[in-house]
Amino acid sequence: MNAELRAYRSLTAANLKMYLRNPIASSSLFLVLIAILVLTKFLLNGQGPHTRLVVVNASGSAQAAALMKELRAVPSFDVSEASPADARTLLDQGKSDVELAIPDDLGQADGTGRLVPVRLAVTYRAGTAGEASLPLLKGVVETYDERVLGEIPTVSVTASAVHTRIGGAIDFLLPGLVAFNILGSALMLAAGTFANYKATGVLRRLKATGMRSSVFVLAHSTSSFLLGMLQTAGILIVAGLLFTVQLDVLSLFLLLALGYLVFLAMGLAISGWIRDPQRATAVAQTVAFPMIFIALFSAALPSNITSVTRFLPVSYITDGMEHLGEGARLGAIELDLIWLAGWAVALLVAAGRVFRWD
Amino acid sequence: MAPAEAVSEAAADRPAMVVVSDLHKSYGTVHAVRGVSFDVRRGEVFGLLGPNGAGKTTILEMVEGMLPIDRGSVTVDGIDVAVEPARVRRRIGISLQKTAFFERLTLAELLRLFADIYGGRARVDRLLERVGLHEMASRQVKTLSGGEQQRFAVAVALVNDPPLLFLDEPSTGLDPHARRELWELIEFLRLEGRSIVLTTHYMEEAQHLCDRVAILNAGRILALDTPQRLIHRLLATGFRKDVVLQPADLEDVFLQFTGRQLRER
Repeated sequence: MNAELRAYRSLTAANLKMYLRNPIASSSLFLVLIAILVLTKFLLNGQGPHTRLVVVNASGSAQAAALMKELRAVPSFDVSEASPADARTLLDQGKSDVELAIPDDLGQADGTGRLVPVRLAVTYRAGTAGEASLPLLKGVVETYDERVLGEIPTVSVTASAVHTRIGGAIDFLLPGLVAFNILGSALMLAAGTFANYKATGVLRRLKATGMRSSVFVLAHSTSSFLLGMLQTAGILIVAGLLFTVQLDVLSLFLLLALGYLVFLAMGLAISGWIRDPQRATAVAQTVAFPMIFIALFSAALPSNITSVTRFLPVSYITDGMEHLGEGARLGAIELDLIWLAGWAVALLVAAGRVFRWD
Repeated sequence: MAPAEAVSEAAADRPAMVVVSDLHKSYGTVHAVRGVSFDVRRGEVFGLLGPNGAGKTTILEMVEGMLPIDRGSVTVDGIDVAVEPARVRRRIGISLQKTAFFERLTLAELLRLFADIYGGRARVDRLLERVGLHEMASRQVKTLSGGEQQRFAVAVALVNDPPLLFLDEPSTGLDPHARRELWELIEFLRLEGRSIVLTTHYMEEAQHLCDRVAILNAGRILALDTPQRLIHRLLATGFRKDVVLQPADLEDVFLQFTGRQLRER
């Protein structure tokens, strides 16, 4: 095996081993973020997934009232009534997940005394609890049709999706948490570890072997990348178990991988450029904290600020994550990926140029 | 005759492993090394002696290819250090003045890692046995004593089986026991035929170990010869010590109480 490849492989394995043997340093942020997800689940959403169902009831019949009663009997449905205009507004604003329209002819009979067939229109927000609750909603309507209206099928359901930029709590929170983890793991850990290696003389001892700096940087990047991706996968798995999160995995991987590379290169550039390890850590924190703020509160920032911050790499990650959270595919986040790739290349080149062993 | 003296006579005729010519180094306005020239022969232990700030470490690091050379030339085993510093570093063994290793890796893991970096075979047991740490293979560096850490640093410097070793103040901060153990190790490495360049503050250490020494001050070599010849030269000037040497000193008392066998091994 080529000597440099062997050195790269061995250094990568050694780095991973050290991360695993120091879980407090390498995984405390990850564990905090998992805890935030769990707390969000139990504090904000209650014990199980709930669907906010808004009914537009145009029928005053007893059959319509019976349907409302059936819907309200489902524990996971939070049922309310609204006018057609209000119901659409609630859906658009992300304040409801599903809209159900009961037509005015439900319960009306034809000339032979049989109930006229009716179609219930269901509109749901893509990629939310509303989409996941569709089978349950259809099941409730079928049971109602058979039990209340008789054996002849009378009611059918048509469903259509709406794509909206506003999600539930998890849609707001998850992109920020993932970006936070990437920032913490890649930028802070890379900068901190490098600073520590420099301060203690570990890098100097490695330099004494005649090893090329690119081999060390690549090994360090690979091990950090593997750790970061593993932690990000952990966050997404936990989020998937606790909430209704439907994401395009390939797009997500590309987005997070590029995002990770950007911040890793940023961390390497900072710690490679600044000789003093304490200053390197301080600068990394100065760079990281505003971006963490932007990642978590991008939706709440005023437009004059976002017109500037939208060009920061963290904005492309949160923007891409929001799109993916709404069920978008690779094509919808192409621009985010291109910008992140540009940032990654620029920062990796910069990191390579300013790297110093001591 | 001191142990080093016997070897120095034999080493005198050997070809040079290191050739340093008119070496200069400045840090801003400070001219730290001012035209230093010397050579180190194969199988020789060569000492750089001097007070703090004399330029010992700066010279050593330029010769090792760790520090850029401002002016002058250095060849190591025929390789021009200024042209191929990384190639030189791959052929030599280095124990830095302040050596640090990855935390949370064991001694065995570190030796395997360095063997992989050099692209060689890891002879973990043999290396650890040679420096007397064979029973500590699964321990981490931070759990070792100062002397053990220095011996481990030498073990790492031997991973690539180098013909030339650089030891920068290897015994600084060590107690007499640990220092004696390190001396024994260096003598053993000399017997294996390796060239060794070391810096030290301790004259007793230099006299005991070195075939030749260069005495430095303010970036210049003031004297360069075998310890015995340097002493004779001083005596020839009429120099005499005012004190009568004691047959034993406090260090001997210390060793007597804490482990005389180390000296007698």
